[in-house]
Amino acid sequence: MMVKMTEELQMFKLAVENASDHIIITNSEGIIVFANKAVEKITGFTPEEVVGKKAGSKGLWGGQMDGKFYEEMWKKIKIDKEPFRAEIVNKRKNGELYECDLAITPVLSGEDVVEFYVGVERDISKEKTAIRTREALFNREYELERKERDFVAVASHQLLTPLALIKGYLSLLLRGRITDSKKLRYMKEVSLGATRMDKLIKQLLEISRIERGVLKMEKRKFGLGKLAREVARELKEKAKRAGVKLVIGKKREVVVWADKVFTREVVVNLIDNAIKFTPQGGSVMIDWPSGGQLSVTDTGAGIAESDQGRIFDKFYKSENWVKHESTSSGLGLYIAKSLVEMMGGTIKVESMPGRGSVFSFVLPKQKK
Amino acid sequence: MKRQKKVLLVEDDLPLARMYQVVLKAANLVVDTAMDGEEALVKAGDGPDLILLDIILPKKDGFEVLVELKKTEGLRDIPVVCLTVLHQQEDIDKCKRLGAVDFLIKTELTPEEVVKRVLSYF
Repeated sequence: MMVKMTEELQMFKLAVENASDHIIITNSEGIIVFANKAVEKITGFTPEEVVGKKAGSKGLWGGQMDGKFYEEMWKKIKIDKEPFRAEIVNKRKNGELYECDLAITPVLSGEDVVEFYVGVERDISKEKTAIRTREALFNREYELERKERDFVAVASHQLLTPLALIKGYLSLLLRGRITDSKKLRYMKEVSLGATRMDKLIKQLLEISRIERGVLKMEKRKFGLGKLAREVARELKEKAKRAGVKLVIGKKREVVVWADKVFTREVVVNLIDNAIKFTPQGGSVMIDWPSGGQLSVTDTGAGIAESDQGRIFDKFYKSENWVKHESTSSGLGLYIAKSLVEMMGGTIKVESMPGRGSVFSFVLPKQKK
Repeated sequence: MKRQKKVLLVEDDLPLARMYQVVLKAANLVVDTAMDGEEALVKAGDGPDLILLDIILPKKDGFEVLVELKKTEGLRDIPVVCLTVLHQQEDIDKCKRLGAVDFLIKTELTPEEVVKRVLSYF
């Protein structure tokens, strides 16, 4: 009988010592009298370092929760004499915080007096991190989905507007009984509506490629000044028709490391906008001073301060924009900003309402 | 002589505004225009006989305009017809709940059908 008990005790001791959970036994004052091997594995403190010290004290792994928490814990195990369980944060010897599932059981004598406490902790940091990662991923996906839905709603609205225009004018044309000059005017409106839809669909597709991260860039060295001069030449006629003078920077060169096709798209967008917003008799100046910078300065109406911070937002149209160019999609500057940033650059606007605006971007001068 | 009826057309898209203006004027209506929600509320004060109201508008959207109109003495009785590309039932219900007398979808009605519906309120 005695032999059997000794064997059983030996078995329990081995089981407790080698359990994968951190197990400590304290006296009724909370002073540690035993710590198994997992204590060192989880906390970094050796049994010699912990025995004789108060469990959960700041000198060991505890003290990371607020005072109220420990008050409640002690009340539960010491006064109520009931087991306590909670998920808490502790600190390893190396200072690293970890999360654990803590269970403290008071072991009572026959007279209902606490003889000792058994504390078991399971390190759940990995599980918690995995749950948080999953949650973050889920939230991110949800947010992306919501953005996608909003985008589709606004994009549909934008596409339906020129469609309403095309259908409307076509119905007037089909009705007949109209003069040739009206017929021509309506047909022009249909054509403009179709052009607008065409441009919008291309912009939407480009944004979709940008946002899905599948837009391919072919970065190489090229002269920003040469490119700016080429674009300015292409838009000269348009500026002339609008009565706007295009002023081009001096013949020096600034070499940048970027995608030439997309840089051209940004330059066209900025100069085209500047021409649109500059009244007859005004001017648009294109310059590339140094440091991979290009600026487009106009003498237009300028942009209200309240609009400046949002002018590069998707679908955002400033007040002036609505008045001057109500058919704009509000996507051009968003695309320009996305492209410049994808090339490793930055874009900004400075404007004085009533005086004009300066849109400028900076591209890397060499491969990063 | 019968007084010409006046319509306030609230539309931020210039080409569309031009198109509706043409057909409304052809129906012998006087047309005033507003390009955003705030301008619409100001011009509503000029006493139009009907307001043709787009919903997606700068500054104040059509829903906000409707709310403002309906709580303003002297403006609340002007009939408002929503004219928009929105076509979801919830948008239609919202406009009607806010007091619009009709809801017209731009892509589903020809400009002349729009005019017919407008005239039916006079």
